[in-house]
Amino acid sequence: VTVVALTHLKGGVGKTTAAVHLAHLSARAGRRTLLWDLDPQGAASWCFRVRPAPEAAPKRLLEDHAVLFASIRGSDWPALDILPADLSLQKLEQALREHPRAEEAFAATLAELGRHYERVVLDCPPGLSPLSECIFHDAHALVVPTIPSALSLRTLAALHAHVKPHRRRGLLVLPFFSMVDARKAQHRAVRAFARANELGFLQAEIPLSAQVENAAARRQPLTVTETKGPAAAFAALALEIDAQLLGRGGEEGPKLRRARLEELLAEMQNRGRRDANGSS
Amino acid sequence: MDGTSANGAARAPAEPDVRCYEASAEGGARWREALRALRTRAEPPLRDHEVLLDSFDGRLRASGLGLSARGRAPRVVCRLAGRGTASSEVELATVPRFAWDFPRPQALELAHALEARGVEPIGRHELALERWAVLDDQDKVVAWIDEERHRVRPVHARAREDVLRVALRGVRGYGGEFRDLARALERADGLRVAKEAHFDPLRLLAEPLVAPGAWPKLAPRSGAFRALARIARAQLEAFEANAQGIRPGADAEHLHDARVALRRLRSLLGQLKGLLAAETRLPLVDELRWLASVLGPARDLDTLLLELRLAEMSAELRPVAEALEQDQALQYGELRRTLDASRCGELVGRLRALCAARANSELAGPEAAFSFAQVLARPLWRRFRQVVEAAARVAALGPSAELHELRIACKKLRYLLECCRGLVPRAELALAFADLKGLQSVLGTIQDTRVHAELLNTLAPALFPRLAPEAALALGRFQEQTVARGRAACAHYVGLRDAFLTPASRARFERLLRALGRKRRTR
Repeated sequence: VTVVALTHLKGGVGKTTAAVHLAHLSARAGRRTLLWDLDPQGAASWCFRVRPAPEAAPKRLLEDHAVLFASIRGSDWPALDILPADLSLQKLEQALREHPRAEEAFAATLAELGRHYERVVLDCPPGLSPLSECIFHDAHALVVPTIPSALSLRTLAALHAHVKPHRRRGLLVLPFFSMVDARKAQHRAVRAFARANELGFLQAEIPLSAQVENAAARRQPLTVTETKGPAAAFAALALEIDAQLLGRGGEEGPKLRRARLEELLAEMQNRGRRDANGSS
Repeated sequence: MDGTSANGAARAPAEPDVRCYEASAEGGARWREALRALRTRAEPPLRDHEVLLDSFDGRLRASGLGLSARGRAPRVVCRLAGRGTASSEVELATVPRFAWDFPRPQALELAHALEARGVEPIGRHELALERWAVLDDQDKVVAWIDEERHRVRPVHARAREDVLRVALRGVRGYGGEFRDLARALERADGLRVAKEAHFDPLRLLAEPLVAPGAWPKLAPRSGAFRALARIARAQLEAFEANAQGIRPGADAEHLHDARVALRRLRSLLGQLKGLLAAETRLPLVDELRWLASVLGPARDLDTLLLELRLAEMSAELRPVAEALEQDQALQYGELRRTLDASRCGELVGRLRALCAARANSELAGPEAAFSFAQVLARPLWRRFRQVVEAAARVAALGPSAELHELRIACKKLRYLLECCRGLVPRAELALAFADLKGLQSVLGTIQDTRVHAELLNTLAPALFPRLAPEAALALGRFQEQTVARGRAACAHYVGLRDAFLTPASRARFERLLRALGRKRRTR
């Protein structure tokens, strides 16, 4: 099994949208896939129209695998199952906080799921918490949607530094540009800098698109009906992540260069100051 | 894995439920009224078809296997289903003809049923599928309902009446909704729960054609001469039908079946001496022996090729098989000439005359007017004793001639036992067959491996210069494996022989004799 976590310390960067599409594409490629909605907002579950099962008891998910399996529900696609969430998922956070060996328990749960699924996609809540620590500990790859803006990049740099011990054990950190709006100068400048300086972003970019938003409103992944535009971007992203997970990327693959990222942030800060002085 | 842990907790996501229904002939599509009460979304309809395959004499069906193929070259998907086991799918480049056209696990399973018999289309199964997604109040799919219309068209007959099935397929985690839907469908007009989870198109096909040469039905009071004539007719039919198959040379089993028919007939003519006049019997036996000797070498080559094709290193041995196929083609050419020769025609003519003759004809011998059971008893007991004495005498690693003699005696005993069908209780006969079968089978393996080893030793000097080093090495390994298989069979022989020599086995044969009406003198 490969465990792919869609994560970012910042909210509203497109984690859930990416998780929904990557899970659907994985299932469509024939893999038995589980999308585990770990965000109490339950947005990924909502996108698949799945509500938590009556038997679901988030607090006992880690200690009782019968509850874990009873909580899993099928999507409209045979190879894709959902472990849905709602606000009661906060109890899982609480259980992890109280657990003496939370990381091991979470790892055992993922291993149990790994006996039945080839790919587990985790849709993570924003921020740092005992749950996110467990995810950093046990995931194979952190896929990090990043809006090409100063705030988002700053948080990415912080996340990259935070997961350094896990990177040493082989955790892949795979940032990609999300909600890209080519009309915005800052988006254009950040993407150009990132590509020119090989900052380590994946090549695939997800544009800011009404199509993506409409798909969420229709509660159906865009990749069900579309093959072009943002749907093609998600497909390219999925392929790139698969290649990274297979080790095909090798030495050529993206490797986030945090020092250069921080240089970019400093430059953006200076440019901001210059613009402010010029205008005054 | 049973899906539960030691403490009984579920250790796997629950598998979605499936329940199948059959629409009664008069019910038709009335069940759809139940569908109207549900919140559903129709999916695009689907049409598919597959070609059903079997040997002409239905060997796969007889073994509880079903084989079908769909798609076209270069992507033919074959489905092999066993009785009570999950089906497996294999993608091949062309529609298969033989067991060895499949990858190894399926090839072995099929070879067990088919041996070298080819498969051919026996029918076509067409499926028209209509599907509805059953939705909850969020428009989430909570179950699927499939209406399957199956049509089976046998190759040489009219299409069977359509079968309408409805399958309710659950979605994981929506067990409650599934149960509610199942209850609704069970109440629907014209639906009944299907006995089988999957539709088996083979059950709509006619029974396999009775293979030419099917054993005649005999009764305890059947006249001996007529019984022999009817058995001879069956063997002659089997020979003639399979001779047609030998000519194209595609299916090695025709040669095997033709040889068995000739051998069975020769053996019975030789053992039931009193039924035919000596001047009729002896020339017939001589001619049958001649024909069998002509057919023998080609069969040895066929079985060797079968072993090569099913061997673990069949890919490396492919050049060896190709080289032997050239020899095989020459041998089959010789066979065709023999079958077309006037000598063979004359033999067939004489056998036809025997089949048509009456008990009072000049062909009949002194015991022709007896009942068949009466005539059978003495040679059966004599042959049984011969087998017992030979088996007790012959050691596992004895001279191959002695083992071969024992094998021939076993075959002769088996042919006599076959004649007891309908004359003695079936269960008793089955036990006697079972006693003999193990011994015969191991002797067969010993003999085959010895013949193959000798054949390979003879052919190897000519083959090696024509082979690449990998193929030559593989051939060497195959020779070693052949010898090792023979040794393993020898080790197995002792146990099976001892089982045959038990007093229980002897008692069974004595009971058979009593059933045939013979009172054996106690020694």
